[in-house]
Amino acid sequence: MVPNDDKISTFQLGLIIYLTPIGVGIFTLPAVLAKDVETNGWISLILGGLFCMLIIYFISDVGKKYSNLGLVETLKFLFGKVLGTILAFPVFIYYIVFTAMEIRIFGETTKMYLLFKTPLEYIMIPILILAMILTRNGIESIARFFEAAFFLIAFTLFLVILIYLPKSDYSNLLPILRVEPLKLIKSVSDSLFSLSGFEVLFLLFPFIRRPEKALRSSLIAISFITILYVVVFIQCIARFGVDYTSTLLYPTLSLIKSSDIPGAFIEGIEGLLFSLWIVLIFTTIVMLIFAYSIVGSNLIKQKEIKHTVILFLPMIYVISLIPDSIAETFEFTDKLVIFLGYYTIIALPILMFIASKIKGARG
Amino acid sequence: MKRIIMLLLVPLILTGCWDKTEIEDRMFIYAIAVNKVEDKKSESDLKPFYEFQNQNLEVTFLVPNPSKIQGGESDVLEEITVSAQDLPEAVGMIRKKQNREPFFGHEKLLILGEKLLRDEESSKEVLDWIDRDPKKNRSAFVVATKDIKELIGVNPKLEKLLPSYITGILKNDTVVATMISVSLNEFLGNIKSSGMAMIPIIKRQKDEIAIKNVALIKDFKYLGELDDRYIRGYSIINNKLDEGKKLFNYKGNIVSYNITSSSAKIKLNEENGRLVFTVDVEMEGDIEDYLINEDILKSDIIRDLQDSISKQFEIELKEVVRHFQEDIGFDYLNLKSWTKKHKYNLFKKYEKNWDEAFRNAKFNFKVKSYIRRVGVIR
Repeated sequence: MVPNDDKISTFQLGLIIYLTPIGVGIFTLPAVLAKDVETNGWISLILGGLFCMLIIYFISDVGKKYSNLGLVETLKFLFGKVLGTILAFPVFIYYIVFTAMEIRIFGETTKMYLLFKTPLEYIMIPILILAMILTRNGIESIARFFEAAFFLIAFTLFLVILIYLPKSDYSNLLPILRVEPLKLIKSVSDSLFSLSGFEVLFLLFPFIRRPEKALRSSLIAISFITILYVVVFIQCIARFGVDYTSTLLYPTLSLIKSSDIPGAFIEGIEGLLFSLWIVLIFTTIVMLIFAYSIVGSNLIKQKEIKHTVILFLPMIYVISLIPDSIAETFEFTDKLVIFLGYYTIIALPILMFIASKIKGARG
Repeated sequence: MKRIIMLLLVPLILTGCWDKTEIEDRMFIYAIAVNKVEDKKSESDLKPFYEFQNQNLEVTFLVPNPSKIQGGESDVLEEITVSAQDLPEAVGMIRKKQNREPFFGHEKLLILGEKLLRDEESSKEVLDWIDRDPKKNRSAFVVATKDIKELIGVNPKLEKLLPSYITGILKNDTVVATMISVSLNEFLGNIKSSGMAMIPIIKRQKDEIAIKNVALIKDFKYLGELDDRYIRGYSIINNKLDEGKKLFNYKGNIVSYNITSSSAKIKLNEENGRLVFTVDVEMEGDIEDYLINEDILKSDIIRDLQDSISKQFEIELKEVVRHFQEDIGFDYLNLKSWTKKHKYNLFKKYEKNWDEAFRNAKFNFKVKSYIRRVGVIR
């Protein structure tokens, strides 16, 4: 019997870490990598995955020690009240903007491929409201929803990969490793940020039933995402070639679009697949909303997370509509990564890891 | 009270079917044919309107008429022709003439006129329009033709719809060696990565349509025609040959060899500042006809035949390569991308002036053909 105590099991944590990073990033990822490192994108992805695992190790090492505190409290404990709050504030902004951009890009892609005439606002508002309803029910309901969605998604991904596997030209992946090392290293940051979302692990520690096992399930989740990304990248390159992939905006969606099932008794399965992609994006949005609500409620000392969710929802909606065009949206996302992403994903975990070691040595 | 307010708010957000289109309100466009009719250049100064002035393109949309299909009539294909500056304007114009909404998801065929292909800017624009819009069917076939009007007049003999008749012929490329078919996906991929692409040309022959020759496109521009005879060699070198026939000479008689599988392995060396490609081809096949009253079922005759076929394939491949090197002068054999994939150092060395390196390259062929079956008579 699973107790009803607002805590999640190790398996559920793994699912959360698996489903949160897979969002709209997967649409653009193959093009970004093909542009930077041509055929070697998969190497960059694997390196990015390994780097991500290192950060997860830092996070879980700190998280285990202060498992009942949560991110903001840990920061306050490690750096003092004032400095801790200052350090936690960018994280909050990061989650707010990240959620907003995720919803915007979700709206843009849905409009482009599925609902051509529906106004953007009407695509974004319902998904925000649905995500809000789920988030307000707490981490346990979220984890259960993720469990339900996972098998649907896992089955679909498996099916999609089976469709594309035979009909591609895998010699497009050659040559291997013929790229300047500096370029490859630079592209690792792209790969790492395609995994962004895993940092919610930090916020989840107070909710994990057995924090000591968090590291293992997170690492497994990250390696599965890396495998999925590598497969998607290889499929895009094998189907379109490097030069064509780098000219596409959403190569993954074009890949789905170019599907032709042998026998061809069904045409255009992309409608079915897109509706499942929405579930995948929904999980990301839910988790991001949950993340900002935890950080936000800790910052403003509000005990009920429920209220924080609604409090900042209008703000997210407004921020998501700031960029005027799709080009500006991408620029905005890049700026988010440069200013806040590096801080939240790389700098903060390392900083906290070092601080906890010093504190541990003293105490 | 709260619930009632919620209930009233929900329809505000959840209703509204902006994308609702009933199937009977749709016009399923099966084929688009584009050609250039005029060549009016637009001036650079700003004007209040640009609509309806330079009608450079003539666009024909082929649409099957569902009610005619139901009624069992024969002439079910409707053609809607508009002249416009570009394709978006053309689509806008058919909406002024037809009540139904054009739907491109089931497009089977894109017919590009020769005059359009000769104009770099226009063909770029047309192809970009197709590439940019995600609603297009990317697995549609692309063909080129000289005269679209005479083509559309053809009434297929065994099919109801002209586009499915043409795509049906194109799908025969798996069994006919001297023919290729190109999907939109492949075509756009080729032209964007190497700037070079091939499109089959269709021509009207009396009351039928035939595929004859291949149009060579270089950087969105029509370069020339490639004779059907050279396609088999091209497919063999590119490993694209599934099945096909070759006529060969045996003791003064022309007999037919049906290739059932072929695989080519390319090796590349550099000798005296010159690329040397060595192509090893292995193929299997059957003998389809032979000399009457001669016993073929002897292994030394089969061996003799095999050697003869191999030798004649080597002659053919040499001629194909010579044609590409000397007459056409560009690397349509995709050897540049092959070199990039497999011999990166040599690729880096010759990347800048690849066309010249290709023209000067030496080719060696080793063909090994096997005869597996000879039919049911001796």
